[in-house]
Amino acid sequence: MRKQALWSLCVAASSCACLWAANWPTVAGNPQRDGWAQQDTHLSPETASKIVLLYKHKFAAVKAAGLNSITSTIDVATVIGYTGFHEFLWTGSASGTTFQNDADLNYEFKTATTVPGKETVKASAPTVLCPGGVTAAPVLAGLSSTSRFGGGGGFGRLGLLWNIGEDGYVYTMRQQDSNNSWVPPQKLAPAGANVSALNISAKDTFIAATINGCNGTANGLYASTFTPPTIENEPDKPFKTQPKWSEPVSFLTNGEGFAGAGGTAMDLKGDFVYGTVPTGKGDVAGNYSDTLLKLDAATLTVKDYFTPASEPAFHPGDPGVTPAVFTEGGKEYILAGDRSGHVYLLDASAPGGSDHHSPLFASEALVKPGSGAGIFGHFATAVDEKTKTRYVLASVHGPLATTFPGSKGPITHGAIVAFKFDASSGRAKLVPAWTSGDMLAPVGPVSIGGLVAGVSSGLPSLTTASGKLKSVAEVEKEAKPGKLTIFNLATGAEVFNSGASITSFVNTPLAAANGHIYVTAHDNTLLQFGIPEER
Amino acid sequence: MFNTTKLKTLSAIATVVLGCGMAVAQNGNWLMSGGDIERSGWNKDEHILSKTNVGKMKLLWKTKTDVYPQGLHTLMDPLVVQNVPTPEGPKEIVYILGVGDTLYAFDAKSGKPFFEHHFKYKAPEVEVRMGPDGQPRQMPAPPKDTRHYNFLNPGGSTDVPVIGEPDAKGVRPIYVIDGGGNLHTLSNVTGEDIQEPIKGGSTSKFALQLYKGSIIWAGRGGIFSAVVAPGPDYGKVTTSKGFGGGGGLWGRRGPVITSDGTVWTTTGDGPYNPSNPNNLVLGNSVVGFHLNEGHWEVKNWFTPPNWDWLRRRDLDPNNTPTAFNFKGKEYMAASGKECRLYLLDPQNPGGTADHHEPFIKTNYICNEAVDFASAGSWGAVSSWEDKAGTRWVLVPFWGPKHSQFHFPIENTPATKEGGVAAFKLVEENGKPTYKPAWVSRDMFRGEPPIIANGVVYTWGSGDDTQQVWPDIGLNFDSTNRAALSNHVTVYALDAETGKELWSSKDTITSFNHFTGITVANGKVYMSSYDGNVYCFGL
Repeated sequence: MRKQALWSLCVAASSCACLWAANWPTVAGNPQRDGWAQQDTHLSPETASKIVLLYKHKFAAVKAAGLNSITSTIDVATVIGYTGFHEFLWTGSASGTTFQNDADLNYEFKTATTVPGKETVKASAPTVLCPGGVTAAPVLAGLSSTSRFGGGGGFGRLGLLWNIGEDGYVYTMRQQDSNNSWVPPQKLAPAGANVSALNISAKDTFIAATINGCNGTANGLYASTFTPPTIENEPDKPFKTQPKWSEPVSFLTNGEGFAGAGGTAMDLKGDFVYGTVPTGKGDVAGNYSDTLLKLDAATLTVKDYFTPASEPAFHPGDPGVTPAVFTEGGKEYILAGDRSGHVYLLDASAPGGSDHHSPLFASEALVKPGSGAGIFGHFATAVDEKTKTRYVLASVHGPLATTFPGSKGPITHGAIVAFKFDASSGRAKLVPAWTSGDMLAPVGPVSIGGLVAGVSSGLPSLTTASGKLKSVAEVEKEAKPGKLTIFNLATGAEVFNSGASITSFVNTPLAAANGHIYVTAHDNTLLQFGIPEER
Repeated sequence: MFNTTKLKTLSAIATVVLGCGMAVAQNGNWLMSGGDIERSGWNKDEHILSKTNVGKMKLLWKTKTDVYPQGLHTLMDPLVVQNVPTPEGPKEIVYILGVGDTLYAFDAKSGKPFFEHHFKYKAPEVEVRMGPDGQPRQMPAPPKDTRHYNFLNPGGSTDVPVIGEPDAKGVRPIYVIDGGGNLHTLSNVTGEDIQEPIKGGSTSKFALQLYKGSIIWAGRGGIFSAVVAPGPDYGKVTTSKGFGGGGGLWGRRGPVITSDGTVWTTTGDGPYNPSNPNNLVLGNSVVGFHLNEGHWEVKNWFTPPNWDWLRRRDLDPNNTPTAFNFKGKEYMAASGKECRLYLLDPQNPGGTADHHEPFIKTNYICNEAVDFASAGSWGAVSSWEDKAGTRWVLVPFWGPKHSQFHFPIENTPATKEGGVAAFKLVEENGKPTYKPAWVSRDMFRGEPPIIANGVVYTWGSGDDTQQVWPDIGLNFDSTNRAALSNHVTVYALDAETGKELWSSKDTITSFNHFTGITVANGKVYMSSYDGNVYCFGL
């Protein structure tokens, strides 16, 4: 449906410019959570030496909730707006305000709020797992790869984005001005839930992943499919047809919530949703133990699963990683990880094989199980254009338990690790390629222009050595400023680091689009890194 | 269909067409958009209207045509010819092309119709576009009411004709391309075709050029020309080669021709990739073409160094530059939606090997909002030289003047919706430099001015230029804009100070879109969306 609409737009606007731009519509770049800003032409290993901090933007009015302040940012380029063309960023915040910024000119264009919500949430004291407030970043539909025309809408096609409030309602915003009352909000998740991320399938099914059982809410997935309104051909008219949401459905884990910063990953067609559940139990897969579930995206019924052989005991606050979906050689693969630090390569058509325990490939355990150690956030996977080699990148927390080529010294706090994807033998595998130097609990990596960006979060483990959760104050006291490091995708060579420019810890995913890498730090600051350009 | 009488006329005009070289003499006439092939907008022959009497101008006549809007277009720039031989004796005639494929001619004295010529042709076949699946796409039927047409693709005839020199009987050829891409040569006396129409291969959205016996225009995919001088090459159409596009060809006054015969056009918003010399993709640029081995090929170009920024924000240099001599050397002045004023050396417009270095450029004059639709310079840059030999360059613009750009004279009310900015080109340290001189009062969308006898004539079009709405996004249905538009106001300004000397106030009751103002022989002509032609004078 979206492809059709986009094509119609292209045809209708054929007298205009051919406008090509890339977007970063959601956590890890796209519903597949592959962390790759594909086809970026602005950055490259050759130009990486020119990367600088381009600006910092402070969202002055945001009040933090627990460890949360602003969310990660999302990006859509070439919004043909009523005040001109823009590349927009939307950054959510714990206090319920979503900020719409001009990505190039660094100013707040519009804001929208989900406060007061449709339902009152009884405020409880923030904890490291249950901060309260808005927890998920806003989302746009679509992919991170280059597309003709960006957003903004037009020709009967609506330019929209969404966020989810603390009240569990999905708010539909216009890309033009962030207006979130034009389309009525839709109840999706329980009020007061900690929504780790929203995801949108290619068939417009919205999925919210809830974690940590906050405010007594059940962990799981909540889904509803959106049918946008149709509009007249002139402004300020009522909808031709009203927007619709399907009756929400849910899938509860009966245990922990779906792991990682992205919650879920989806296939390109929008038929299936994948997620890893650390603990819990279900009718199909039985007891979960870092079990990767493959569910029907619309109905949230389990279609298949993969459960690793064994996992250490789960502790609240342990790192976890969201699966990623990618296609190579015409075959769809799933990347997954577990608490013992294995990276798994799975066949999307049968993730665990016939016995549900057989991956295509399992790496060595990257970390020694222990407090705060594991694979974290989300993966990235990108193809080096020069060698056509696909790399898989992961963020590891804790000491590295295995060796990678080109070691840059002992890894004691974490690292970005890279594998080469190799299917030359007929059976796909991941071959260790390189590792970063020691990084302090890095968030999930992203790849853009033949580079890889990782950020040391500066966060300590959320649990004590005895496995007890720390308080927000304890974590904040121990936290250090984050630091962005950029590597050559093919070699792992460091090409840039942000030095002291980030002034607080970073617990939100990175974003990358159109030659820029975005860091959202706990001190309400959005930082843009890239190559200066003449304007 | 085509008789010997016409052929005789054809023969008679042959010599004058062939003899037409660098400049078209004005002699009280206004024969092409911008008045000359340099597109100066300067009427050097005006002696009736002056600073001292222009304040007494009044409406002399108003004539309603039957033109029906297509998109936002109705009537193009008026052209004027003196001493047109008629049975009643020599007359001054005004010629205006309507978008509905009709050329209107009026008696300049009375406004009475002189003739109408309606073009008939087989509608061009709709291009079949392939979808991502490789199958032809089902295209929506165009609206039945042409007012709903896309304002960027209104169809019909939107070029400004060009008028050639007279034959022995005083009959001039009017060259015009109809909406089917057929180039006509009409008698300016009868409105009849006096040559076999030429299949031009492309329509022209903007004004035509006449140069050395050929009509030249910016068409789809590059520069086109057709030989109109009788002879063995008559009707020969030359197209472009090696030009990969990069945004459509723009410039309301059409291409500019510099002294060496290079044809210059500006390109709209699009990619820039000059890596393949056989397929130069040159969006957001000022591009010069020359004839080489039977084709128009790119000779040279200037692309602003910030082309990617301009591409991303749709701030292309979409107006027609103007060429002139300064201190014995030829230059071009160019601007666009970004709203800088460039000075280019036509022999080396891009300066350095990367084609990114103009001779000089100003800071932003307007468009602080970085808006592609309702701000920036649109239309054409004009230029003139005063009696003291000072070279002036005039830039029309939409939206307010940039807050950080200052003029010694800033007229009031301050620009909010648009205006005209004037610069003097002076020599400092042996190098030309633009000196801001004045900025006009506010006018709703400042349009390309004409300079005549020390007076600048311009207008606020009243055109609502919004292309995007918060709820429906980008929308090309022209009726949305028409419904919000205001009305044309013509202004006469002191060319040295920008001071308002006269305005049409509320005389004109409708707006206009992508047209031109004409000043000739003591009269000022303007048209409007509702099909009216207005003539002001003493």
